[in-house]
Amino acid sequence: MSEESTFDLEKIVRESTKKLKKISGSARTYLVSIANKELQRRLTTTEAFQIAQELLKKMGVESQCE
Amino acid sequence: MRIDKIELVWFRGAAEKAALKANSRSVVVYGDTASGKSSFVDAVEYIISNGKIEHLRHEYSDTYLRSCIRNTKSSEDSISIACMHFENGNYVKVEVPKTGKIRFESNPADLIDAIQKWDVKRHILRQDEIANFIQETKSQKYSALSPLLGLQVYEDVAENIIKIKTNVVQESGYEDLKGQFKVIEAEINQFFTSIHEPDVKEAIQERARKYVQFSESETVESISKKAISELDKISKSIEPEIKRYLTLENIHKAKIQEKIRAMISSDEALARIGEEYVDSKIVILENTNKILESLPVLATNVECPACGREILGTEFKDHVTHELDALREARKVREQAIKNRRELAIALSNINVQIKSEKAVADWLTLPEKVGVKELVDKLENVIVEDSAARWSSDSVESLKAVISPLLLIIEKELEVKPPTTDEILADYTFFRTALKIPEIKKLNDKITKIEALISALQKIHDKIRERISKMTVQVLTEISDEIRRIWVKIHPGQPIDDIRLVPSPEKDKAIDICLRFYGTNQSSPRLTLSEGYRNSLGLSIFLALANQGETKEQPIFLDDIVSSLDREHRGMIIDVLREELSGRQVFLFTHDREWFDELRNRLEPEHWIFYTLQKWFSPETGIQLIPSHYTFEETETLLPAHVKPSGNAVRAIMDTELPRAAEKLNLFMPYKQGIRNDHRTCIDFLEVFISEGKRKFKIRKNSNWQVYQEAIEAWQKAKELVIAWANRASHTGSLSVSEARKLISVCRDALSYFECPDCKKKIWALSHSDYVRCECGRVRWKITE
Repeated sequence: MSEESTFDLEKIVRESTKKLKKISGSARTYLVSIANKELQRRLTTTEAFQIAQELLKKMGVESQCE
Repeated sequence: MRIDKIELVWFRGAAEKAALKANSRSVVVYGDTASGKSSFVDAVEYIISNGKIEHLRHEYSDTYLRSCIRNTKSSEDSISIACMHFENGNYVKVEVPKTGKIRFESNPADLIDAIQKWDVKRHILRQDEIANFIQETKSQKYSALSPLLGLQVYEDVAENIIKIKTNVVQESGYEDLKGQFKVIEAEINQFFTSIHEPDVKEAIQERARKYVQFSESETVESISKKAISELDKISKSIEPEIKRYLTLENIHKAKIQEKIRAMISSDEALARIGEEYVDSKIVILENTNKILESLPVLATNVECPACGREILGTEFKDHVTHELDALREARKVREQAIKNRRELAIALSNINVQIKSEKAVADWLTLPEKVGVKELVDKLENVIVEDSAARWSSDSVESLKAVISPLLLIIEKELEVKPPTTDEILADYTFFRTALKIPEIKKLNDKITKIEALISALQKIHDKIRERISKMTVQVLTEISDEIRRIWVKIHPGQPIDDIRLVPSPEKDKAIDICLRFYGTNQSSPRLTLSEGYRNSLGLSIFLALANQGETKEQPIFLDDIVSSLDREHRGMIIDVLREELSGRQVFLFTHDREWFDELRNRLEPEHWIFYTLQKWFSPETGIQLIPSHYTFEETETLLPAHVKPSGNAVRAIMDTELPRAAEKLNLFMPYKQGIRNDHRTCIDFLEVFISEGKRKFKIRKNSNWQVYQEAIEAWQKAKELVIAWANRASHTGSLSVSEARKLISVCRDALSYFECPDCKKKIWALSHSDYVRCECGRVRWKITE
């Protein structure tokens, strides 16, 4: 496969979350940090839930469902 | 990764043991229908698919298809086995006992996992599944291709992101927050044009001034709270204030001074006309008038009973009428005066009652600053009107005026400061309560903005991943499409179906279309225009193109009866594909087509390919019987004396292979035979033609003269006779003797030796000329023209 087709998920996350950086740098950093590990394997429902909780926490938004 | 052999024991059609030895080469297996070819393919699929075989899935519902895997005649304690041995000594194996656990094993232990990761659709192609890819839905096509070149992991990432996003939306209560925001926003919009701080502050300050004092620097929240606190107090005190106001307003509305003036005026009018005996006089004059109506004009003077004056008889009637009118007017004035007196009396009484009965007024009057007012009120109370119709004395009137005038002045002043109404209080209260929600909506807005930023970021990641997947899909599909077209053109050169492409479906995500151009017209699906034969060869092209992608191209592929729907020409083209496109692959090719099998044997390189023939399958007990189809005469001799029948068959197979090859090189035309016989020509048919044509065309130079190569003709004649007599006997009855077999080998070897020059030892077709071919030294030649 050509270089063009290589898949750099961390880069994609960085590019896609530039606006998020202004609102919550920590949420963005967290997303970038899990790009090459957790996100690249099929997440269970519970794992996806936990990541969402963590992101909300870092955004300073408490969960409404706790 | 190459397979050394596939072994079956009591597995499907196999009995005690059937081994397909590949020796790491590619393999062609020929066998009639139901001779057991597919048992090997089934075994491979069974191992790859962890105990599943797709074409048996609907027939047998038991786990691992046990009831159809085991040979029906296998004993109770026998174990059905399928084993793939690889070139490096590794193997994967499955054991299927009659009952109990089915066991997969491998050496090394993790090899079975690796093999079971193979995509069966990219390793095995069966006749009835050849067009499956074309028939599948667009989404199924996508699913089939997504594992290629690792797209699946990115599909997983995209799916993960969506899962996280869904959880973020749910856990943050995003929809509820937006609902709350809308409700509060609607409330705020009733009072404020914007929630811009200066605008809001200005509006709040303006309204708050009515109630409280505040500094310019105070916040909206502080001012609103102050105002609300004041409004709470106001709402408690507002009731007596309003009642007092309303009472005073009622007193003012009673218009006492106007009533006094009206009474004085009417009393003066009454005084002017005199009021004594008016009623009696009216009665007398009315009676007089009635009497006069019945009398003629009076001749004598008459004394008026009302005024007492003497009136001429002729004028008396008019006098009475005039007097009556005057009296009636006087009575009207008197009634008006009485009415005015009464109205004043009632008004005064009402005022006193209201002042007395309204606690709010009474309480107000007790205030120290209201002593003067209280005195006036007391005085007013003392104005007692015993007879409301009676005329007031001028002193009484003046006393009343002296009280009423200052009192009304005070009331008028009090009425200048109107107390707030309940509606207003309520409206202001709502206003400030709503103002307090502005910080709340700002917090809510902030929260929603954060959540939306997160949702948007996740969506953007997802979209970018999909975009990349889409680009990669296009790239992968382009590569595969190039491969498909390359293979297609080899099978169908110069035919009007071209530009075959796999493309992402424009209609939906995760879907793939197959497009092509049919006689110059673009078609969105091969199903629209292609015949079954074309669909099958397109299916084959797609399978081979996919099989040549990624890791799969290092692994063996299995093609089971794939040319059934192709004609002779296209089957020949498939051989080109096998030679040119799959030369580096290990291919297991199964066919029931004898003629194609012969062609394969002639055209595929023996150093890369092994050929087997399956004997007719007689019963479950005898099972699958394989014999190699490409012996040399030396190998054939080694079969003796133990295996006479196979040696006879092997000689026959050699002749069946070599003679058509020689015939092709010598441009020898075979006479047409009818029907299926045309496809089943044997070496005997070829020998007959070699003999007849050789007499005219095959020459050897002896003593500078060209002579018919008589020794060759005789050798072929002899071979023909023995093949008919003994080789057929070997294959049909198995009654060939060892010595007969040795002689058959010798004669056939001799017959084929004439295709080489006795001097230079090169093939007689080594060099080509315009009308003949010859060996290298020129000792022998064959005329290739008529």
